[in-house]
Amino acid sequence: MSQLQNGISRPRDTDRKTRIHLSIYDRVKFLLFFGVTFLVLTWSNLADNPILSVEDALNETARTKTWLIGLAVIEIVRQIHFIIAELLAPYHGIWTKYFAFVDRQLHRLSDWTRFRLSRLIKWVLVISLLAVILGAVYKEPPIKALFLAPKAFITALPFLGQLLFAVFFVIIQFAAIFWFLSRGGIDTYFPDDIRTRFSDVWGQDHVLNRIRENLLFLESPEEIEKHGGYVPGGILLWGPPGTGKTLMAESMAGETGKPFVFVDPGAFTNMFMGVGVLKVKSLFRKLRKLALRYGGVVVFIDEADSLGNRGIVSQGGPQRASTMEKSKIFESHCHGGAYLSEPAVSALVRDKFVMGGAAGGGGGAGMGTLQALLTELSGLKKPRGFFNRIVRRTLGMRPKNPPKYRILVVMATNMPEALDEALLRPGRIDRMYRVGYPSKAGRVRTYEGYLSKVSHSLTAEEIDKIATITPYATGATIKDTINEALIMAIRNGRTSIEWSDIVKAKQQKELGPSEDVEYIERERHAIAVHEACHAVMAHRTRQHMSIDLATIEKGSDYLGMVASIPPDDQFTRWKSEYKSDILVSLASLAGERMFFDGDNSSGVSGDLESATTIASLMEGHWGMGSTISSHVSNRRFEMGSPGGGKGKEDTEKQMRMALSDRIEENLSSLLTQAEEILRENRNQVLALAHALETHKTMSGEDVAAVIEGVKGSIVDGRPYLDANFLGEIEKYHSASVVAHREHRIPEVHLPVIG
Amino acid sequence: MCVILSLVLTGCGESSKLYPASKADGVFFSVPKSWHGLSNAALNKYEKKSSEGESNSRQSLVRWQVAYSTDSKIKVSQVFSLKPVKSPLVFVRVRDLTGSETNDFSYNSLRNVIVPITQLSEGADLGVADFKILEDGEVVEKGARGVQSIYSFSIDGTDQTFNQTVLMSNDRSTLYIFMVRCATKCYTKNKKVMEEIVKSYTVRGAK
Repeated sequence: MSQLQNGISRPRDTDRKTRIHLSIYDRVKFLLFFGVTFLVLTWSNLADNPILSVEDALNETARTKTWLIGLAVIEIVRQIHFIIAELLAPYHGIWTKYFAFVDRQLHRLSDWTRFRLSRLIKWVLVISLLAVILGAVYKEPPIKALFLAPKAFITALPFLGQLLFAVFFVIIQFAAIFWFLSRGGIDTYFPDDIRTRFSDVWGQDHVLNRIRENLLFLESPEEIEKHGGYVPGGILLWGPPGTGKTLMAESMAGETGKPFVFVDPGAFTNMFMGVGVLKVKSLFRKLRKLALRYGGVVVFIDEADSLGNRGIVSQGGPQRASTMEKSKIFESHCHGGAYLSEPAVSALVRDKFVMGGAAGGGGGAGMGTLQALLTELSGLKKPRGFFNRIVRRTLGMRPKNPPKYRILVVMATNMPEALDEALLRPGRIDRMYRVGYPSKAGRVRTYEGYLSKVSHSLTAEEIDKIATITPYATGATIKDTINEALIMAIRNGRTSIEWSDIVKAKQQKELGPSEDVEYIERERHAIAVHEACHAVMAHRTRQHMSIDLATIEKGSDYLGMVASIPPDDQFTRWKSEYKSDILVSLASLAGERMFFDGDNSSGVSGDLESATTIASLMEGHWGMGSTISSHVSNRRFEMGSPGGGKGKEDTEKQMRMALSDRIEENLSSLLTQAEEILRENRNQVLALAHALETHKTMSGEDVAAVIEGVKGSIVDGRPYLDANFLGEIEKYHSASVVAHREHRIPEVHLPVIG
Repeated sequence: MCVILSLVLTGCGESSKLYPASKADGVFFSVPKSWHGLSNAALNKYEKKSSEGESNSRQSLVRWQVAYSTDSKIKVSQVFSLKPVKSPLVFVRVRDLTGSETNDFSYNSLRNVIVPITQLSEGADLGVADFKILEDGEVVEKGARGVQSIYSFSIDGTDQTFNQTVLMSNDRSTLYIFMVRCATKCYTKNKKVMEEIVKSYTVRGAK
């Protein structure tokens, strides 16, 4: 303390003139130890001979255990030496110099030699000590005793066995528990166990072809291996639910000539930590065995997102925005990513998807399971097996390198973003295939397939038509729709499905059951007019979408609706299309104002919202407005937009105002345009409103028939060409408008055709 | 600790007594340090040489035997004869009992192991004069039990006293013979020492 206060540091050992003082305990500890040993030996003598007196026992011990006395004497001499070194600087100096000299001599040997020498000396010491102890035990010369020891060891084996058993008994219980816990969740199928074939998977031909290619490589790996390549080890199938990923895996199992191992989604979720790791290890041990025995194996991990991920190491980061998200961004619209450089793409992706990335993390199968899987998929290629590792090495041979295990890992998920990034790197998962919605040909095929299992009277054209109007149908939904149609047919006392059953089933599936609310007449008419405006506008201006159905039956969250579908599989969208989308949206507002003397309902809010959104995106994002620069980019760099305010003061606000002004301008000109179109089609709107009030729900085909005045499949549109009938409808409308204004029942009721 | 060490180091490093013992058989006794011993090996050797036939097989039953005397020139032959000795002699023998002995050994048999005491006390004439039993009593040790007899008789005109303790192990498999003897004059003179030796005799029994 005082040294610290005086600012003097504690002297180094080399600076000290005398030896550092020992504590009392350090001085006497060895003597204490020897003394206790002496007493113990005396006690042992006393116990040995019942007539021995304590004094004689002490004498006896002193006489027979002279080595102990010797050691004590050496220790005393050592302590005396220490005490002198602590007191006399010259004495200490001599010894310090002597030790320095010895050190120098020792260090003339290389470190490695010294290490080996010291190891040798230690061994000799241990063995001679052992020999002396054994000699004392057996009352034989030490060297002879050394040879007796193995015999004693063999005699003691049963006892050692007992001890070991006691230890292993506990370990075995644990091992057994974990062994049992790590069973299950893994099924192995051998060729011909499964009847599903690739021909049973419809509408995913492109993915199927790639999978077939992978399987081919697995069946005859020499093709690629003799040229220095390797068989791709992993496939990821990702895409929306119900698109046939699992079916594809099943067909792989049926198609391949190799064993197929199916891993349950929940297999890696366990009660205890570490069991997942054991499971992964045992799974891969099994896979390696199968791979060697059959020359290859396919393992399918369904719902791979259950494996979880390890979260994100750094915040955000461009790495997290994996290929998956990139393709998500660029799959639609204008393939914007295709011609950009990699940095530009990742800059775009980072900005846009950083939130999505951060949402992941944790979850899944639990600690270590994913890591174990990662290591098994592509870890150290270490030699395996007892013989290989131990026996061969003992004989001086190098362990054999592990053989090429041909394991094809197939994973399926509908949440690819939940997968760990390391799982998806090449070498683990080499190929990623999106299993999207089936193509139209695939849908036709699927409809045909499921229809062939039931009795129906649908023509090939009708099947084509239903496939066309259900663009997002998957195998699962198609199966469901046909089953629903069959239920409807049976309820109607038929056993064969007709076209109307299919259409109704589809409407039922898409809209859900109607709430069976009966509108009061004037409100029903208003809703019908509202929907008719949409439908007529869509029919007249929109070519990229066709009307799927129109309804004024109240559902859970709408009063009526006009649903549209793309007639073809189209991947780009155009300015003219968005413009007509806005026109269709604005048609309700324009129509309500026109038909109800400038009045309009709150029901247009949704329409206006979508119109405004599209108009904003057109103006700010898609280069479909009066300016070229992207609003997103402008905002990121805090630049003003063209035509907006410049300078430092509140550029953001300025920019927004300028942008919203332009959007409003666009919308109002489009509203005027919509009014014109509706004015030209006044009769068609009223005719369609009448048809909707009559039939409540109409298919797109019937809507077109009413507007064109031709015969549709269910509704006949020809009566609406009759001027007298149109007059009646006009009269009914006028009465409804009056009733609407005065809140009473209209004087004229809905005219009936015929 | 230091006291012990100094005690040990400052010279009384010698035991005050000798402690002959056969730890395997559990037999212990002590004699003064000045006494001289005849080792197990020496006794065995003599017995083997001098005995023939039956006694040879008996000799093989002996597990341990040892003799001590104040006389440094004591001969092995003196140990095995009944002739009076001029200096105190201690003889200890541990031997297995034969099957038949195990079955019919009684306290009297124990008494008669060295000298046929019972016959002599009944007045049988076996060429021994002045036979007297001085003391006779049961002895119970931890590992064995038997009888202690002190008796005297004279051969060739010299009177001698025997102090013998003969025990049989509790499992009736082993015989422990312990004997201190001397000419009666000498016995009286050394009585204290000899009684102390007898007192120190302890039989724990085989481990």
